[in-house]
Amino acid sequence: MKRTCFIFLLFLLSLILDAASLKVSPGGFLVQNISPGKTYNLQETSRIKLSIFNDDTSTHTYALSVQKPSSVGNWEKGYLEIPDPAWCWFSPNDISIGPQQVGYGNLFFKIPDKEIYYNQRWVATIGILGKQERGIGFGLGIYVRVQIETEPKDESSAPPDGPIGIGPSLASFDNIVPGETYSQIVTIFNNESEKSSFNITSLSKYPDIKPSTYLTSSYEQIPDPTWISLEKEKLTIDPQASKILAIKISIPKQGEFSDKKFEEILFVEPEKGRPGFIRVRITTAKEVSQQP
Amino acid sequence: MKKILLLLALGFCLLGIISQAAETAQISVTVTLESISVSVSSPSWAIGTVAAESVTESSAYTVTNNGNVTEKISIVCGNSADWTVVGTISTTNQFKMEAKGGDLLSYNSIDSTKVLKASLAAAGTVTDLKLQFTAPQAGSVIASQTIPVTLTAAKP
Repeated sequence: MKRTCFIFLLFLLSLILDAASLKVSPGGFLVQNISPGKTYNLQETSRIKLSIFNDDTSTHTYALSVQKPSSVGNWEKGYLEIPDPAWCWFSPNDISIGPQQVGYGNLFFKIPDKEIYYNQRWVATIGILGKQERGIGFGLGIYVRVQIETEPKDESSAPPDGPIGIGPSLASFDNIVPGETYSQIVTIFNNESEKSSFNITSLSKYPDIKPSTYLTSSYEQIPDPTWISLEKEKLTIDPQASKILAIKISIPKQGEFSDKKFEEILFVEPEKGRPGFIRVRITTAKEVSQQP
Repeated sequence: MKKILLLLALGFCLLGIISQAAETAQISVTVTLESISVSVSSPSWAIGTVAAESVTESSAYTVTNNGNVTEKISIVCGNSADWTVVGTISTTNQFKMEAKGGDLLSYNSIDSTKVLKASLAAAGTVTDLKLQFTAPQAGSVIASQTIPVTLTAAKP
């Protein structure tokens, strides 16, 4: 008898009959002022919870992980990938959530205590992935990006890490009076082995980028980017060298601009490679009422 | 003496706990009022018994962006307990899983991550997701297998 050449396989892609639905909120967040060497718990320090909604009718377990953003897609202009995703972690790193329930991811950060890690802008991607369970075929997963900004530092013993170093990464103009002009300097480091030119362009020149992605909570984008003037809009820097950029701020003397909080992002764009950015933060003084 | 040693041990334990504790230093966290969500209709495909090297196609699934931002939807297939997912079957205990629908205009192997929809607006749907399974060669493990297919959503 001719030997049969078939085998029969009972293959089940899925047995689950419930709807599969997963939601995560917030869909992204910006964490600023992280000091290298310190451990932070997101929930403890900010009361912000990464909420995971299991909209199914059965319990699911989700694996929580942190990855480099390039492993799953793109990330925000001006940021680099986090050098080591192990600097952010969840504890516990999986979570079981009942049907129609919400669970919370407990996220920690610790950046190594090195001088070069001040003034940094990185993105890490958080993965919330349904774990394979008995009979489940379609697992659902969500990736959320976290923008991480380390503590800005004016003077440092070493240039900030990355192809472009910016120190300080935050140019802060506090309590300024509309009608007057203020100036600050920022040092741009070319940490690469080739000479490069860097164009300085403001976020306002990119209408396709949502400003809310970059702005710190309670700050609004500067209404008119011409209030910021640069000594130079293009810098050419030798390899392993640096140049100083002067930033001037002049806000019109109008009452409506008193007691405000503005921000603007100035991208530092090299000829090759990913840009960095300078965050310009402005708070204006309260208007002093005139006595009759 | 024992009490003193006990107290010292307790003190060291407490010190250890404190040194592990997270900082409550000033960090600023800004969240977007966004949620990312994905759902799939009828997420089951009980193929049943199939012949070696046979090709089986699923019915259509609908993938929905239930979030409030535009999302990129990706799809990938993982290994089962006894079989490995591959792009081209070359030996026993290997299977192939392909997907089409959305931006995948024809069947593409999903042994590595493929973008099902690069930009799916909030409340948008992909209504034509289909899977195609190619069974392993004769001589492979003959047992019920569970194969994970993962749909992920992220901001583009």
